[in-house]
Amino acid sequence: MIIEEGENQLVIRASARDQEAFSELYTLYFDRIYRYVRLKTGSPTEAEDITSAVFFNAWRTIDRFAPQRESSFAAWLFRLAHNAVVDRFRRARDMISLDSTDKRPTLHAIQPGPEAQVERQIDIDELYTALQSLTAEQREVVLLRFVENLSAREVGDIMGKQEGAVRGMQFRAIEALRRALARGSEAGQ
Amino acid sequence: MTRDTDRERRLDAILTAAEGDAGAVRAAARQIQQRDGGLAADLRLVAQLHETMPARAEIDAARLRVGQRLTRDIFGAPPDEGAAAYRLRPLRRSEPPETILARDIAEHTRAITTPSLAPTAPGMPPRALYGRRRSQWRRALLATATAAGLFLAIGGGVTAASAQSMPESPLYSIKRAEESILLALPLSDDSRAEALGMVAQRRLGEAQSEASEFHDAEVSTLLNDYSGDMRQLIMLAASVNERGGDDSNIMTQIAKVMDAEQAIEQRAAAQGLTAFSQALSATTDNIAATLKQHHIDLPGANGDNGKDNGKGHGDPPKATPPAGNATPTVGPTPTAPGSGGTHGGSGHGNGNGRTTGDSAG
Repeated sequence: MIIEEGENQLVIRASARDQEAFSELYTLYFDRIYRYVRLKTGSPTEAEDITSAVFFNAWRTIDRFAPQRESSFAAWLFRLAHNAVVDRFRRARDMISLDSTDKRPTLHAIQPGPEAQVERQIDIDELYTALQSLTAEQREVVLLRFVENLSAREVGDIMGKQEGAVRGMQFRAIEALRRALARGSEAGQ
Repeated sequence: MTRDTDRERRLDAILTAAEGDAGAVRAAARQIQQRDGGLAADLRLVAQLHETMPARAEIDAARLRVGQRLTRDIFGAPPDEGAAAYRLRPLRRSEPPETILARDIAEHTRAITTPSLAPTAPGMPPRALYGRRRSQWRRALLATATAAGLFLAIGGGVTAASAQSMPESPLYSIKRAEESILLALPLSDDSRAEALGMVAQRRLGEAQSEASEFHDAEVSTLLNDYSGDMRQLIMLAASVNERGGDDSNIMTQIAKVMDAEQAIEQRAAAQGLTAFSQALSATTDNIAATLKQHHIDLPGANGDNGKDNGKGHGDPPKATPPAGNATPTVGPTPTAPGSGGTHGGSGHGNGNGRTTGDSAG
């Protein structure tokens, strides 16, 4: 990444409690973290609350970020976001946890094959709905690898998996997502 | 299985090489379509996922609100000040004029806080109704906070650090988000004109600042944005005109911004910033063409917006841009009827939304 060198400097300065450096990191990462959380929760309000908590925690603990142990600052930040979402849903017991792997919403059965799906712009709510039919791991891989474009190694760091395992999962996840989107598209017609 | 593993590797290699660029992923999909239609379909889906985002306005508003919250929680700004903007630097005080825009925003804020969402439906338990409408309350409260913040930041005379920021500043996105939210508020025509005029003058000031550092690409973008703001202002005037309304305040805003533009253009020419001066001139021509297209004559205009004879727009019947203050400032300026509309006495913005007031006339 082109910004990596500058980003490292920002992280070092922010670790030394430089507020301006932290605000730059905030500007750099806000959109991605917000989108990730938004797709995990489906709610703009929840996404705002959680994103706020993520950056608050990042500021509190940024001096514990160890570049030699982490694949990237992005991976570290996304792990904070992942943990914040999990914590939020653990606390809210009346809400459906996104990490309960067997929650499968009732979508209509597939009729045409996935290849029949016409390419079109996917709506964020449509993507959120489709993601609910994936397993928690597949969902995580889709969001981190395909939506947020983290590397397989970074995704592995966040999920506690080997890079090779992430590669395997991502392939199955994209197939599953394609089927889910096709089902959703059918249901919407 | 081997085929799948091979496909996994190829998918991974292509995604890594594309570095998140949806266009590159699509190009790769086109290239391998003949050899492996399945992988091409996967790649097209990945490109679509890269492009799937919440609405821009949602992200901008969220960034602003979360920024405000963090400013208060992390950097210890008092909650009442934290609402003004996501700021990290001390505030500066600017002129505190009472404006139509400020009044309108204040009224809008009052309208939001009026408990019109209180449970009133007959036969429904108030508590249940409240629960159903909680998110509406929340949105209303957030809108109130935003409107109050904007009132403080723009109308109330407090110029936040973000309002002074230039495109390369980390606070610049906050500034643009504030503007988007401001323009999304249901303002009166006069207030909308004032808001659009303020935004247009900000773009001019930013373009001037970027031009002085020879950041040509930024200048071009900023002037495009400026043209867009002016187009909106002109469309607003045309719409009010069509409804038979009073467009004098809107016309004054247009004249004020164009005076500021001419002052900057003349200054750029004097400083040898020829390319910038020419770009501004071309922008003025476009704006003049848009005015003509909508059959709008600026008050006292001689048909060429005073470009060639060194004159300004002349005297608007009710208000003229003040001779010593036609600059890209954030705060509104008092009007001086009959001041002639020439630019000899124009103050010059320093590109930071502040006025140096170096009157030459």
